[in-house]
Amino acid sequence: MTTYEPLEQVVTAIMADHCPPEVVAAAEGSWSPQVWDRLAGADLTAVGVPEVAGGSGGDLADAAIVLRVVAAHAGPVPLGETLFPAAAGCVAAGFAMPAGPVTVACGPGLSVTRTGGNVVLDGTAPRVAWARVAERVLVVGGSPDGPELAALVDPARLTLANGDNLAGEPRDDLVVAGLRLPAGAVATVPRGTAAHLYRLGALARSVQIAGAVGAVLDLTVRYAGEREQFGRPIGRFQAVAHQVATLAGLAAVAGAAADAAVASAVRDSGAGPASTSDVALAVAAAKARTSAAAGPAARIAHQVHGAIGFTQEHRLHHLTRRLWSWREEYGAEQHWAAELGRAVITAGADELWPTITRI
Amino acid sequence: MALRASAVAGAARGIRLPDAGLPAAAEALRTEVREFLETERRRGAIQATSDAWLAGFDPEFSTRLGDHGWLGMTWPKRYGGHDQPALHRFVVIEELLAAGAPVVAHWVTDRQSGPALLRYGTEQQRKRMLPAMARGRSYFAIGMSEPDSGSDLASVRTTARRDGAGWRLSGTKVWTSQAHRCDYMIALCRTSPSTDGGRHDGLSQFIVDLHAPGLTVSPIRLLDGEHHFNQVVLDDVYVGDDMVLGEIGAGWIQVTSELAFERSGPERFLSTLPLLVALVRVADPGDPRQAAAIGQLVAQLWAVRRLSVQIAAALDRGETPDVAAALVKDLGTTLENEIIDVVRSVAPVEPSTTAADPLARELARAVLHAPGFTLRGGTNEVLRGIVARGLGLR
Repeated sequence: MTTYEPLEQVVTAIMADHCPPEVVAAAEGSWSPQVWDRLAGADLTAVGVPEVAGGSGGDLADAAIVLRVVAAHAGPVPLGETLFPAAAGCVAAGFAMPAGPVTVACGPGLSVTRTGGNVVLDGTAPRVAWARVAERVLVVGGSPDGPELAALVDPARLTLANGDNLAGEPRDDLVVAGLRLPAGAVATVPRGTAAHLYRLGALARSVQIAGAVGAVLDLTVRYAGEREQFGRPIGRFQAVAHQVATLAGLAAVAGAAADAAVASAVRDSGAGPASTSDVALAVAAAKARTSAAAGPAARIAHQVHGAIGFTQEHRLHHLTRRLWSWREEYGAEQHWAAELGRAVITAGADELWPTITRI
Repeated sequence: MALRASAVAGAARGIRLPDAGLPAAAEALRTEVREFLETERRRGAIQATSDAWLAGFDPEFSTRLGDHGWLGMTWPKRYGGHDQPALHRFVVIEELLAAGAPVVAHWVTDRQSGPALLRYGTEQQRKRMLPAMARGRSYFAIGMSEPDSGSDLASVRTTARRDGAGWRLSGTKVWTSQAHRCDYMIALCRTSPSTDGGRHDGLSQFIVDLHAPGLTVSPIRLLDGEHHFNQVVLDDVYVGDDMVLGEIGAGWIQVTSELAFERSGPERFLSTLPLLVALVRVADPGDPRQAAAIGQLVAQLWAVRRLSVQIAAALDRGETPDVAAALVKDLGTTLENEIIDVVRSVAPVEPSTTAADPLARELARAVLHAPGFTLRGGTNEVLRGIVARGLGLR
C-alpha cells in the first residue's frame, strides 16, 4: 500500500467513481474488467496475499475490508474467489498468484491423479464462480486414498457450460475429461485443502453479504427519510421505522459475524485445514448467520422501497439479487448451522459456553 | 432515482462500531473467574438456572466477589474500585451470567448505580458510598418506573419539594427489584413542573435510604409467585441535600446515561443460556434437524456477543454507544425467546417446574420468565424507536 488513507476509504472512493449502477448493469452475464483494473491499479486485487506469492501484503482482515466495500457497491468482479480461496490455495500449493482473477474448483466430483510423468484431471464441478472470465482456475482434488493435488488451469482448456446466478454473475458448470498436465504444473497440498478452500469461499460470501446488507440498510434509511406519503416521510411512521430498525439489527449481526470469522481466520492462520478447528466453527457460524440475514434484509428493503424498488430502474436489485444468490453459494444457512450444531453437540453441553467465547 | 453509491453516505455507518476482540489479559482473567466459579459450584452456591441474574440474591456470594476485586472493577482505586478496563469487567460478568451465578444482590449497584455516583455524585458521596458498593456490602435499587410511567419515563409524578436543608419526597415507585433487600434506591422525581422548554426539564435524582421513615416497601409478585419486584410508597420521606444525586433539574440527562449502562450488557442475551445448555445435553448429533437448530442459535449467540463486546470496547474509549446498546438489547432478548421456541420445536417436552428432567424444568422456568425479557430496561418497541432515531428517521 502506498497510501496512508484508511483502506476502507480508498476502496470506497474507487468504487464510487468507477462502479456506478450503470456499470453493474452492463456487466451482467460477464464481469467488469475496467473495475478490476482500477482495483488492481491500486494494489487492491492482491491484498492479504503474501508478498512471496506475488501479493501486496496485509492479511485476510485487509482483504475482507476491500471485499466488503466492493460487495456494498455490487462490484461485478471475481474478488471474493481471488482474495480468499484462490489466494490460500496458491499459497498452500506454492504457486505464484496470477495477475488476473483466479477462481477455485474443488468439489468432490473432481479428481486430480498422477499417472507416470503426467497428472490427469477428470470430473465435473457445478456452478464454478466466474470460471469463464477468470485468468486461471485453481483445481483441487484427489483420489480418496491418494494425496490432494492442486493445479492452475487456463479455463480455455476446460469445458464450461455457461450459467449465471440471479444477479448475472457467471456460475459455470465445469467438465474436464482426461486433461493432461505436466507434473511440474501440479503441487501436492495438505489433505483437507479442498474442504478448507470451500470454507474460505463461504467466508468470502459472508463478508460480501455483510457488505451488501449494510448497503441495503443505507439505501433503505435514505429512501424512508425522503419518500413522503400522507404529508410526511414514511420513516416517521412507527411501523416503517420498526421495520428499518429490524433491518439495522440484521446488518449489525451480519457485520459482526463476518468480522469475527475473519478475525478468527487471521488468528488461526497457521492452524491448517482441520474441519473441527476454531476457524472452521467461526466460518460455519458466520455463513449460517449471514445467509439467514440475507432474505429478511432484502424483504424489508423491498417493502420499504415500495414499487420503485421492484423496478430495473432502481439500483436496489443489484444488491438484493446478489443477496438471494450469495446466501446459497458455498452452502446455505441450514448446511452450516448443521455443521456447527453437530460440532457443538459432539463436544458436549459443558463445552458450549467455552466454545462461544473462544472462536 | 438510480442513486450513485457515493451519495449513499452510510447512515448505517453511524451505528456501526468497530469490531473488537478481548485482550489477552482479559482472557487470562477469564481462567481465574472460571476457577472461582468451580469452587462456588462445589460449595453449592450456584444453581445454574435461567434468569438467575433476576432471581439469585446471595449477599455472601456478592461479598466474595467483592473480595476478589470483581465489583466496581472499572471505578478508580481511590473510591474502592480497581481501575480496570470495561472489557475486563465484561469477561467477569459474562462468566458469572453464563454460570447462572446468584448475582442479584449487587447487580444494579455494580452495573449502573455505582457508575451514576461516579459520574454525577459529589466527592463526599463517592467517598462515603462507593467503597462499600465495591466490596459487595451495599446494595442499590432502581427508582424510575411508576404506576402511570413505564416507557414514558418523563411523566413520573413522584415529587420532591424543598424543606429547609433538604427535600420531602412523595409518590409511588413500582417494579423496584429487590427493594425489600437493598439499602438504597436512586429515585427519579419531579422537582419543578415541566416547562415550555420541554417535559424533560424539572426532573432530579435522589439517593433514598430504603429504611427511612415514611417509606413502605410491599411485594409485587411475578406471575409464578416469585418475589423480586416491589412497590415503594414514599410518604413525605425526608432526604437531605447531601443525598441529591447530580444537579437539581438535570435528572433526565443523568437517567438517560444510566440506561446506556443498563442496556448494553451480556445479561440481555444470556438469560436462557441454561436452557440451551440443557438442550445440547440431550441432543443427538446425528439428528440434522436438532443440529441445524442448535447451530443457528449458537451462531446468533456468538454474533450478538461479539456486538456486546464491541459496545464494551466503545465504553472503554469513553463513548456512549446508546443506540448500539438499544440494538443489541433488541437482538439479544429476541434470541432469549427464540431459544424457547427452538427447544419446543426440536425436543418437545412438557414444561414443569417440579420435573426431575432438567430440560423440562429449565423450559418451565424460561417460559414463565420470558415476558420480562423484552420489557425490562426498555421494551423492544421503545428500543426500535431509539434505533430508528439513531438512523435519523425520527
